[in-house]
Amino acid sequence: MTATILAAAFGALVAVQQQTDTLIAVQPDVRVVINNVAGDITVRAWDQNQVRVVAEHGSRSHLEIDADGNELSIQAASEMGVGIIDMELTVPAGASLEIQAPFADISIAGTHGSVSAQAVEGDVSLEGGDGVIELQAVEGDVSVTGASGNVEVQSVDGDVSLADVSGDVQVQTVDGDIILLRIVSTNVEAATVDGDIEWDGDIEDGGSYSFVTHDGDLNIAVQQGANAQIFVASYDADFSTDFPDALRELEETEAGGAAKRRGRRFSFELGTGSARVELESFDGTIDLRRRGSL
Amino acid sequence: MMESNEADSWRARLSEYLDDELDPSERAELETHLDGCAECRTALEQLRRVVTHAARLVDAPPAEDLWPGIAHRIHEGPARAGASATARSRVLRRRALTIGVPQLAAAAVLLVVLSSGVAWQLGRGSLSATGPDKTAAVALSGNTLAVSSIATHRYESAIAQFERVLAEGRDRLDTATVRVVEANLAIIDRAIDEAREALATDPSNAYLNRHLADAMRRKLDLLRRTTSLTQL
Repeated sequence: MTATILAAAFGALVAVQQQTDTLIAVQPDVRVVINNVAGDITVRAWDQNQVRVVAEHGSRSHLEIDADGNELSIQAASEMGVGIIDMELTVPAGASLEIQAPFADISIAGTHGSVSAQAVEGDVSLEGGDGVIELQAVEGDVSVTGASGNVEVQSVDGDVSLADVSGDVQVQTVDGDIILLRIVSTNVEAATVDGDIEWDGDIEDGGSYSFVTHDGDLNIAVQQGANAQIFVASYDADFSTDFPDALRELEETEAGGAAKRRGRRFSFELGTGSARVELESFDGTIDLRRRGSL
Repeated sequence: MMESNEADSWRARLSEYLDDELDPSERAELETHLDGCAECRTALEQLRRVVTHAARLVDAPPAEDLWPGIAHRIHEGPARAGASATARSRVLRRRALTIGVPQLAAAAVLLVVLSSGVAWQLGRGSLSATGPDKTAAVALSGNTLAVSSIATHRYESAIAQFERVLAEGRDRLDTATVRVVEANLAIIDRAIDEAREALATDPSNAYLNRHLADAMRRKLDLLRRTTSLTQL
């Protein structure tokens, strides 16, 4: 019995590190589905109609690669149940991606297709992507730059940052900050429970923007000429702004009013009031500023 | 006073305006009024939001496997138990929204619940007005509070069921993941407690009612997500 255990242990210790390096011919808009339990996943794009898979793994782990129509499936497998496989993929730029990797960092750059990525303990980062973008992490940060389309990002215990993204944006986390920079969108929803939200971007006419936190600050910077109806709601939050129109309106509606308001709901208009902006913090500060003055 | 009466009368017809049921002259007259009445514009925006939310209600149940069974049990209630969720969704989308401004905040609370698929049986009948309000952001009616209370109760029930399911499946989760989820559930619980405490001092506050419902929905979402992880 002891010998068996020792043999098994020794076998595991001497398991040879192996490398898989393979090329698969695919369509330029191939759908690549990746399942990996543990091990980091890196995806890059190139202009060839091939997927290259490079992976480092032990001799008892391997990759199962299946092509079915326009879908390429890459699955990490192991004789010992859970294999730890680091993967580097190079895919056609037009590929769409579906990645599920509970214990892995996922990094994607340069693709133009839709992206779905789910990690549990790990960070997710995406540069590029077009169409439906769905990224999730439980314990990890999520970052997106340069994506366009319908972007939906969820974390639980991590920060979320988006920059240079265009299209509909939905972002939520529980214990983390949300940073949204240079977003071009008419539909933005950002919510966290215990964290701050920063927005630095334009408010488009006719757009809808919602920034909600429970215990955190809202730092919202918009363009000077924004046309928006601003709805502010809080229980115990301070509100401040440096928009002259807003200040004037607030002062007119409350004797002795100032730039700061505490614990109430109110609204005011900037410009034509075309867009709708909701700012809600239960217990934090709400700061609406002209861009560049934060 | 006259201006206030005029505003009240127009505000009562905003839903007809959105449903395109006003004749052209009334429509033009209302639009002229809207140009000069910030309260009515705010009320219109809130009503529009309610309608938009209603339109977003989807017939398809969430993909999470456990959800249909739990949702089914949640939906088993004394009121309108016979109607299917699909039919209700269709009816809700098609029905002309004839609620007035005093019910808007109530509807917002209800929609938070409906959006989560928690309480189909809470129909429009629960949203009767008890008195005129000047803006949509002011006091909720007693009926609304009842709706909010029922919604909260149903969230609590759904949360309790997911907590039980999660407790059974937690062995399949990594211990670090469990710790993270529990820490974040605690954060949401704190937010729920704080919202409840605030509501105790200001029970008619529409924002606080919605905030509480949002916090409970977030807890439900997190439990659902975590439960789905046990099935990976």
